[in-house]
Amino acid sequence: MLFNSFDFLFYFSVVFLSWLVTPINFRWVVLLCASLVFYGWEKPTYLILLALTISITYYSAIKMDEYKKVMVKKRVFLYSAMVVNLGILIVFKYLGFFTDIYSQLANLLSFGLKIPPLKLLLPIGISFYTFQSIGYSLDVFFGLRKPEKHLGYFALFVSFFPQILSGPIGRSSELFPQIHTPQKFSWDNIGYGIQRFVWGLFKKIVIADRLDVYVNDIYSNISHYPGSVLWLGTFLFAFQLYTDFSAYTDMAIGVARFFGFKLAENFDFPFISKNVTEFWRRWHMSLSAWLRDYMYTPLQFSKRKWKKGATVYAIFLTFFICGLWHGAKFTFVLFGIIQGLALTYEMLTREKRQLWSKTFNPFLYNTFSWLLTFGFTLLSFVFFRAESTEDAFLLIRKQFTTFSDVAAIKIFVMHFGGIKFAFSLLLLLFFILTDKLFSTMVKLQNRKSFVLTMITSLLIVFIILFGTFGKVDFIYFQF
Amino acid sequence: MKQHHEKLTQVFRSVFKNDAIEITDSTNASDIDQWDSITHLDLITAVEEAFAIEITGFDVMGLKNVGDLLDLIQRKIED
Repeated sequence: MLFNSFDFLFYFSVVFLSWLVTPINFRWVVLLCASLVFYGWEKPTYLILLALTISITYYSAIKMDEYKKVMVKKRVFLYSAMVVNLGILIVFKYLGFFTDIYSQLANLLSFGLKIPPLKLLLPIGISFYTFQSIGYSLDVFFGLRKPEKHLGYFALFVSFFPQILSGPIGRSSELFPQIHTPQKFSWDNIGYGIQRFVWGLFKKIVIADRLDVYVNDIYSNISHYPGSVLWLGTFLFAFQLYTDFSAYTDMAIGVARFFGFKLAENFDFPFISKNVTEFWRRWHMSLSAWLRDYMYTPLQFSKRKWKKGATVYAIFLTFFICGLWHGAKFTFVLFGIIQGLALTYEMLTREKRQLWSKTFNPFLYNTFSWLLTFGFTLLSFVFFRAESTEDAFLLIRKQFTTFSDVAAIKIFVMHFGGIKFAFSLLLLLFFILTDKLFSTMVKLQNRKSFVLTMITSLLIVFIILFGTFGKVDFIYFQF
Repeated sequence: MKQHHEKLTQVFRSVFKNDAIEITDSTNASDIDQWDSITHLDLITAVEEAFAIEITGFDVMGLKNVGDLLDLIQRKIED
């Protein structure tokens, strides 16, 4: 069920009213039922996998705590939780990819056993709730938190409907205290929830979904268009991806706030970053913090005798997994590797860059750093969006050879209706100029602010006039 | 504890090459510009040398601020 659909609006109203009339101590039951129905909406069979993740993670954590002095047994329970969670993820998300690689290798080297191609349906949200569950298991294993004894509370932690489909990936330290506190109704929460949801809805259906048409066309006809149009497509996709995913996050945070829950933030104006390290601190923050804490740091620490080598090793392995996390395709693996290369370069030139920033004119240095980072981001997103690695390389090659064909942009724009395109671009420009102000404003708690009410009303007018409801899936749903 | 605090302040100043750094129990990575996931390893190594202790991967999980680090140092010295 898409947040930007009337189905959801209706479903949410029913859930919220039920929550409201239920005694405070039983409100978690409403939220849990609502979450399970929400998750099983399209395919009830996926609930079986969710139940498996919930029960194994829940039970193994209690056992880990029971055997906290017996390392061997404690490890056995950690590994069983990991095997089940990663096992589900690997079977449903990656098995097809691995059998493809195997078949291609088998063809190439013409050896034995052929495996029929495997196409399992990817359960929605699986990468998100699996990572959240693994994080919890590790927290208990490392003694950072006591296991949750209440199965209902634990099930709600894994399945909470605003975040199960696409995050933000929650931490046990943030969510459990909130689940344990009785959730009270508050007008401030409603005000915040509405502001945040409207801002997200605006970004999704007024900005992202308008760009979708152009981006789709350009990326499906890479061989047809010259570099100039491909640059346009790359630029538009970056903003489509940002507005689409940050919109989802805004709506998730907004919906959760109605029930008094504060979810983690996921974006902090990533496109103003002046280096790639900073970009990852601002982009999909709940995932990058997860990777940092549960992968990067332990990996780096395990090889600490290698000094700088340990950091390079940890960066590469983490970003290889980060790429693969996004999807079982070589394009995503390459996306991860490219990010790893950039971060390694930045790690090795840290001191030099600090020196440069002091030697050169600060304005020029910062502008240049920003341009370089933004350019890098655009090019790396080509691997994120392209259907195949061949497509990605072809696109980039053309971007650097036939970039001067400006007339082609005119033909492209005319094909889609000049005025319509200009209008979409104008809306995008409006978003770019107001993003910082509006994002900061809607995150304020003050529901009585006049300016805030004006902004929210303005956004609603935009949504009604220029929005398209429930037509385009969120990009991150495929992960 | 006070003694550890002073010694740890010196470690911070030398790792982050800034003599003006003052730390409290609640100081965390966002308070010190250079303190990120890369310099964190340098910091832990410097702490090990300064206090003659050994810190494992297990110990660093869940370190959130200077207070946690001081507790860890105290625990390791007592061991």
